[in-house]
Amino acid sequence: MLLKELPRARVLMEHKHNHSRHHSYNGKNFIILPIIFCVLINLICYLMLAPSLSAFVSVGSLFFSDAQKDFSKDFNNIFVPVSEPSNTDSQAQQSAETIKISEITFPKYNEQFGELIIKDCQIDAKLFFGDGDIPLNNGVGIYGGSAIPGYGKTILVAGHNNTYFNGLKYAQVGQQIKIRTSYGNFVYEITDIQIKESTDTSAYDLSADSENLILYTCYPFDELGLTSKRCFVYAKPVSNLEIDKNN
Amino acid sequence: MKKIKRIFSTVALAAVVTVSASTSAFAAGINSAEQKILDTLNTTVTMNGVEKSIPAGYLNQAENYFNTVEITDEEADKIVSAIDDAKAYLESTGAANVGALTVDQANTVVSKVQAGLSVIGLTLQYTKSTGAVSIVDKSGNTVFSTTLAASGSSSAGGNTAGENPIKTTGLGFNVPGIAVIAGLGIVLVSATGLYVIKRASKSKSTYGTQA
Repeated sequence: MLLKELPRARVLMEHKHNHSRHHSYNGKNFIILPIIFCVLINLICYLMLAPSLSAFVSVGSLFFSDAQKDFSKDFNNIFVPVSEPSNTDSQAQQSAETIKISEITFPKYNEQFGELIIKDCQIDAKLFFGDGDIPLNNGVGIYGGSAIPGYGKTILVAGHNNTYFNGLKYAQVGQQIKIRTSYGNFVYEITDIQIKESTDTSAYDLSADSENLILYTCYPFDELGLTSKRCFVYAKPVSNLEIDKNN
Repeated sequence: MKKIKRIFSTVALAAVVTVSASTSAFAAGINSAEQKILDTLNTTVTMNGVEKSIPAGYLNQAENYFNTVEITDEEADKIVSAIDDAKAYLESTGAANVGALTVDQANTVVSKVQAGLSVIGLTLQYTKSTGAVSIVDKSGNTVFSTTLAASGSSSAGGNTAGENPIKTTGLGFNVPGIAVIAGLGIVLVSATGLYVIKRASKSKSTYGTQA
């Protein structure tokens, strides 16, 4: 029994010896250095893990966001499809066609007024005016500070990357985008695809005086959470359909 | 009596038809009065020596709205006067941008803008906590919506106020399944953590007893 207790007593003695030796060190080594060490290690860990942590932080922000979200599926729909020409693909060769502005019912915020179709990307979504919660939860939405199709300005369309605009990952230059509205059917052709920061103002020009369509969604496409990058798909009009603003 | 009723019905029907017809005609594009307002909005304001302009997105929103209504010359003159008044006040504050205005100055600008908006029955709404600004019509329909940049407005550049037209399009908040899965994940991780801690403390106590 006594033999068994011997190693334990030795450990205790060593501990006591170390403890008395520690008293000889000054406080700087015990307080300041460990703090500096702790900060440095935490900093290194943060820098190493930051790329992986950001995904968790962004997912967490979905749960702890203070912004009020509207999950409503109730919205006004003014979209009444109009018949398409028999050969839509050859619209480019057709002469310019105008629609009198007086004959158009301008959409209000959160109203569905058309649909956006990209066959090659398996996208077929309701098109809304406005890009708040209701439009993006039920389809894709035109930014209220841009223009409606045919108006001769920039059309900026947003959609979620995991739902209605997930198919933009298949977008390629030359593919056609079809927008159907109650006042006419428009065809655009993809001219460029770019990945940019969401804050990059060079990604769009809202003061442009020629018709151009920009679709965008968060990038990477299948990433869960909120990302800082966006995939912008640029397109030019192919159909010669335009709104006559003077009549 | 029947004759009076018939006359009244005819007058009422005529009034409805006239109003309906004029409403659709009113929405026909931008008239000269509306163009006058757009031109005024398009002019610059000098804040702290730097010329600032209204973002193109705001002008487009105004144009989109004017396409749905008809504004008279008299209304336009009152609105232009209110805009000029607000611009003159902004210049007199000496602030570098809208975000740098004091609360009192911001309230004064809001009241001046509201004076112009009320001419056509619009109301300005501002939520300070989120920076959300919206203008609604008599029916409560939103006709303008934006979110002002944070104080200092570095992203506003040469604009009077900054807004990023690019929205958060990351996760569709309408996917409850994802929220449920993520919630289950959190519960699972927490449960695993608790189990590990419990097990560790149990083995420690066992070791302690043995010792």
